Amino acid sequence: MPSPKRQESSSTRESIKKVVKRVHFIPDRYEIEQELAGHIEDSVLFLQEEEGLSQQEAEKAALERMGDPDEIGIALNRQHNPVLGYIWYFSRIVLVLLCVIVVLQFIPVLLLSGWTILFEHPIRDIPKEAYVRHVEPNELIKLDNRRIRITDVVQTKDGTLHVLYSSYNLSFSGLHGWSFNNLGELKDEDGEIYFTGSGRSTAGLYTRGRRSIKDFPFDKEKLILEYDYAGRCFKVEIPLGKVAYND
Amino acid sequence: MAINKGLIGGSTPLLLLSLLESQDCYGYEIIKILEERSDNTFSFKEGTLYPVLHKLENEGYIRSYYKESDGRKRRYYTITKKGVKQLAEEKAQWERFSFAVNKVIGGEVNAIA
Repeated sequence: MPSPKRQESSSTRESIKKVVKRVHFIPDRYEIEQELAGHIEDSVLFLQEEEGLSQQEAEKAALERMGDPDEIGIALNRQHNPVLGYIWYFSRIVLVLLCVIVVLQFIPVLLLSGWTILFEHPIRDIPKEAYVRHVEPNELIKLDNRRIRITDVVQTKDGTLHVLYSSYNLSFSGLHGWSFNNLGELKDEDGEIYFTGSGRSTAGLYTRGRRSIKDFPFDKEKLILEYDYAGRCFKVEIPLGKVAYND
Repeated sequence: MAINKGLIGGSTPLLLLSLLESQDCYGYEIIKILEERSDNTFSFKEGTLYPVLHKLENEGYIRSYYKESDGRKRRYYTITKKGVKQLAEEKAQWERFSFAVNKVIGGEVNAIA
């Protein structure tokens, strides 16, 4: 069988146009055109090969066999409802756009989280030479969907106590890139409350952060994180160990 | 004897679904197979096949996909699960109907029962 190349004569094209003109849902017209053109082409080939008709005769006969283009067009139009068709058509476009927007929104957060996991270590901001005591409590705090792990507590020569933590959210609200890492009240073993004057935290799904308390007394042996609000509470006691040297 | 009848007629979905149950076809192929199997009993305008196919597709009884054959992209139709169910129902209906018709006209009932 010769590989047929699409060659529509003007009469074939005209009758196909007549059919699709009746189809009011324009996006479907192309597919219908292709389908009908393919049919006529097959039919013409068959009539030429099997019945020995000339190209012109075969085409005339093929169109005759197809039937009245207006009638076919009207029947097809009933199956390609413009109202439902357009609703479906535009809702698909909107859906795709929404997906793209949602994905684009999350890209910065995902990139930031990746960056954090690989490169962000707030503990590296503190020069090792300045350490006077360092513990790695590895305490996990669970508050609703948020998980905060206290990874390091470091006190430096100047008396500042740094609390280092990593955190993530179990729910998808973390995807917004906004999080509040509540460490609760920071106290020592005698109940003295300290305020964290400075700190930093990265954004993203997975964050690492640091809170710093200025002038934390060197003789205190425990840091207590306590939270009790609206029925949710935690209490974490972190032994700080002895100060290595203090000059 | 050729029965000239628009393809929109009542038994067409039954014919198309049973044909598509055995193989996936494109439109022109369906025409050829119908001609062959019915010994040209059904003569209809070929173009009227497409509204019926598109209707069956809208109703979810068949599904279409594009595949290349003989160097050309063609739209093939394939029967769905829903279509197979519908086919069984239409077959049963057809059998009841032809049984009843035969009974009324006094034909040989056993031939189709």
